[in-house]
Amino acid sequence: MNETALLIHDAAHRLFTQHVTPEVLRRAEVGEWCQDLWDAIDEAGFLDTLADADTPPDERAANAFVLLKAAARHLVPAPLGETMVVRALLAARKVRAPSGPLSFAVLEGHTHQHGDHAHLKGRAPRVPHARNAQSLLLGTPDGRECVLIATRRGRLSQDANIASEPRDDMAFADTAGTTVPGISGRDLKLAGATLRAIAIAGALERVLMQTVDYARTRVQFGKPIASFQAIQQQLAVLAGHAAAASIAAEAAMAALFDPNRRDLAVAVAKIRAGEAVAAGTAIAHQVHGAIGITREHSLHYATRRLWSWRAEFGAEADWAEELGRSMAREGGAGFWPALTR
Amino acid sequence: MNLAQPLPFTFNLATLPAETNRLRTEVRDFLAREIEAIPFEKRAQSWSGFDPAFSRKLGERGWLGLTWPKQYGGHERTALERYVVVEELLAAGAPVAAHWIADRQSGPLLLKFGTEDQRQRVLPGIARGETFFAIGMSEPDSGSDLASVRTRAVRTNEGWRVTGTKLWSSWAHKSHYMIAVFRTGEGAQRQAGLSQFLVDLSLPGIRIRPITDLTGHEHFNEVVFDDALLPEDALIGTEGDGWSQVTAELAYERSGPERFLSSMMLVRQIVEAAGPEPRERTAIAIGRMAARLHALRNLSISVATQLQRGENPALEASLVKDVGAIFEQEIPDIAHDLFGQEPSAASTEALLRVQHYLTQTAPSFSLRGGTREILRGIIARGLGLR
Repeated sequence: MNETALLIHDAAHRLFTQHVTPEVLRRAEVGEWCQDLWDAIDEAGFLDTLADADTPPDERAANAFVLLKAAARHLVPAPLGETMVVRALLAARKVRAPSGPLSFAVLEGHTHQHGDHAHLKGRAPRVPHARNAQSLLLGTPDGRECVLIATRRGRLSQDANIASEPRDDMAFADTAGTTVPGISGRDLKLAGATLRAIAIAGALERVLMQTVDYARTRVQFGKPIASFQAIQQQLAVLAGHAAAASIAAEAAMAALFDPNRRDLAVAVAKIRAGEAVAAGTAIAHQVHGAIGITREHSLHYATRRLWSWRAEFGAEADWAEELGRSMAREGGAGFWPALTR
Repeated sequence: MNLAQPLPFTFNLATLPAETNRLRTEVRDFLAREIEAIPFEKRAQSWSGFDPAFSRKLGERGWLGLTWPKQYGGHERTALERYVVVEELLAAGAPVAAHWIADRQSGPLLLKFGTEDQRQRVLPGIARGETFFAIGMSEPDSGSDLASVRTRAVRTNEGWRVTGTKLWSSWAHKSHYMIAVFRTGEGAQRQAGLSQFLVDLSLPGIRIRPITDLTGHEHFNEVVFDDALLPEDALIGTEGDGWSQVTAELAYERSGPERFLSSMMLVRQIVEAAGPEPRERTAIAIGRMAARLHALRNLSISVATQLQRGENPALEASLVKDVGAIFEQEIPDIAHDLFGQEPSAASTEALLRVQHYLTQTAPSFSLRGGTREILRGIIARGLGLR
């Protein structure tokens, strides 16, 4: 970790430890917006971690990874990553970012230029935190521009993921917004998949720590269950998945803004992190026993998010099919060179 | 739960330095010339493929003993350069078994604990690709429980008298030396009283019997010491320190990319058989293999970088080996699931010949170099569970 990343790591954990309390998570669960937490994040200057032009791009990515993994360990119930990505994309194109939380999504529909304005028509399903976001950045998968639009200008239908995080459907009937050139919906999908891979990595680390703690304190047959080899071996497997998910997510973040490397790295991260969810959550719940499947125990704050995040911005099978097709085109002899490029 | 706390293991993303790119190209060009003619089912043997002539060629290129001091025939290059050479050899299915153990662990162990005379005597030969080593750890009654070894070395006026049996010593029948751990005393703990020795396998009183494996190949051996006399200076390091020395040796043995690349020839054949336009199910399977391999490689490069900095990533190495073995062991099952054909040694299809070999060797991947259960025990200890 570079020195700045270390500072960000410590500052982030301090802030999140103070502000993401069990009470904040409970309130988020019933749909309450965490304004105090958001204000603290904003004041700390975290939102421009990816946008800051004074920092070299690779350091920005390293800093963002540290910050977002910390946020995921604490399960920050706000669109921190989404806002960071939108602010970075806007800053790179000299578009002023609106203040407040932001989000983004891939648009099913089309955009067209009309005078100074871009117009949007279509729907954007399951937009992260749309109801809490001031503005949204939307683009079609193959378009060459995105549109920044105030959320209130679209029609919003509330929905949520397994963990009760807002995932709202947005509909637009020829709605005007600001054109942001040079970004496609594909860019947004890659960024979203990277954010979710990092979030999975952070939450899996939380689950590992929590399950180790539980195993060391829970006594059965007269001793902590951590002393049973059956439990030890399972937690070792969980540790392996957490490690693999984390390094894959870190590699995706490092490659996200490099057109030559990003498709491979992001696909790898979303696939590997997604696979880690199935194995990791199963082990965590098995070790916790019945208390882990109650609402009053806090394990579910992480596991229900993990089950949601693996499906968002492309499930493992989607990314694996894309990656597999591109690898198949390399042929048997080209597979290894392509993987190590 | 203190969420700010670091995990007990560290894997930071590391990038191989740009200067390794040229080296990688050199190795690939060399391999394109040297091994393209070797059939795929032979290349599938990888670091179980024994070819002294090939090892000598690597020695001539300066790719053995890469990181060692020049005074011992080494080339004083970095651990990351060695990583690049090693992963290219493995990915191509080069027959590296002859020098593998010597270059990977015996040489580094002697550099760390050996006497000046021992180093002068054997290291230059290893670096030339001419001196080969076997491992002498397991015994008939000591598999995962290495501290229970019973082969005894007794100090006499003439040297060390050794009696007992070492088992599963790969390539002992074709090697010049073995680094063996023997019991030289008794201590309060079982780990005490062990010592390591540099054993010249041509000495009288040493009988080597190859054991045939499932594929019909002979690579591992039973090595019987029948009152064999080793010279006084065969002792490596300090008498009684064998346990900590052998633990250091195992760190070299567990950390490399050979712990997830053993099935690369089959991965390659699967991609080849899939064709450029695979059906959906096959594309997904290839994508998943690529993802797991890519992540494993990044974990492994992270470990290599820690080794380069002089750190001791023993826990990290165990984690990579455990996750890596799961991956390389599943490849024959993936091939079976995707194509469902009968593996055959005589098939005209390379896929089926490679599958025939790897289906039968895959069970060894989570046994050799430390069983899955032992590795997970080490990881559990790292997590604070025991």
